[in-house]
Amino acid sequence: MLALLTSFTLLTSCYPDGAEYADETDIVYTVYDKQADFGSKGTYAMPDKIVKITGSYQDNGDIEYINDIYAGPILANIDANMQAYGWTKVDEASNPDVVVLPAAWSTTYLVYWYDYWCWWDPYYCGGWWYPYPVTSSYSAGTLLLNMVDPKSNDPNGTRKGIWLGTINGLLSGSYSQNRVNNAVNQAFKQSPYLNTK
Amino acid sequence: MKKIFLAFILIAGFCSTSVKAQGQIFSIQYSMGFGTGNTNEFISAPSFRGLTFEYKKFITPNHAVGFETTYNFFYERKDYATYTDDNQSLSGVQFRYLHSVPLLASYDYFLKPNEKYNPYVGIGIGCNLVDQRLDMGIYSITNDAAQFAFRPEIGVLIKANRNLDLVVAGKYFVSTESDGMDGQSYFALNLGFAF
Repeated sequence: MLALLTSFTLLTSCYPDGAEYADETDIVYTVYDKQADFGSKGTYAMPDKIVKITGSYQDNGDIEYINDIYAGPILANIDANMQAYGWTKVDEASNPDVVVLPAAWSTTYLVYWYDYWCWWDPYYCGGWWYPYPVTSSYSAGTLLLNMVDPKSNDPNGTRKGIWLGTINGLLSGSYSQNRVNNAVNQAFKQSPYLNTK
Repeated sequence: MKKIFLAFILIAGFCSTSVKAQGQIFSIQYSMGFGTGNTNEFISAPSFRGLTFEYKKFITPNHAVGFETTYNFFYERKDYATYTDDNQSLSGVQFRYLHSVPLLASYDYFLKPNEKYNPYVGIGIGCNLVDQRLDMGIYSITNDAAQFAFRPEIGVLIKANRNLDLVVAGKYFVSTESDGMDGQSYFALNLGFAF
């Protein structure tokens, strides 16, 4: 019996722990609408803020934004990736082919997230109908890049989401711009169909 | 590895002080697993965390029946990679775990009983309890299954003293698809003691 106990103790003492660093938990998920013809599009519009999802806009929740210190470099990196793929940024009033709507959250649970697009333009209310994970740990952060086709004609009266990039990872003690940039770059890298060149 | 070696020395000490029972043997073996087929596809790294317990009752000096349980734990960290399925892609580091616990009834045929080197061949039939887990980001996918298992084996008992034999064995565990999990298989190289 002592031999068995010794064996089990030693076996269990060398059990691997998995991820050791926060950036090892970073995942990047992308999905696109197979009917979308990205090659026929070339212009995009994007807000100059990243909305922070904390509740429901339509339930009169307060609108919060990611601090510009953090949002600025993220938006600039999205612009750089879009333009590297041949897209031209235009004003929203200039009838863009697509609209990129970034959002972030770090809450435990997320409901009614989609109505946040109403803060920018009610036209985009309910602009996404792909299912995707909506739960996350309180200690995890998520950045969502939602590409919407404003010219789509959905029978529900909503705009059609044609590409979704989701970046998720465990929040560490200090913010790393480099970590976020790498993940945004990866979202575009694994979506070569967005290249219009 | 040092810990496992230390465990072996301790176990050998315990075993050598016991009295070998007439007509039956107990065995404790360190088991190294090398995945094949679906197991290898899921985790290509070998398992160096394994243990086998065996009991054999001799019907005649050449024939023995008994039972066996083995535990093998496979683990692998898959470097950052992109996995694409249709119109979806997912990138990240993966941590993969597979626990395998075959519970088998066994039959063995010993070629040279009462000699210093006593080779044997055996088969085992029973079930394999498998627990598979894949961690990616903060998410985890788990899958458990109890699968029908079959295990051929070859080995040799090497007489060390009146109470103790050394065991060297090669086993091939095969279990069939069930509970939504693909069939698993791995080769195990076992080193241990029989008393």
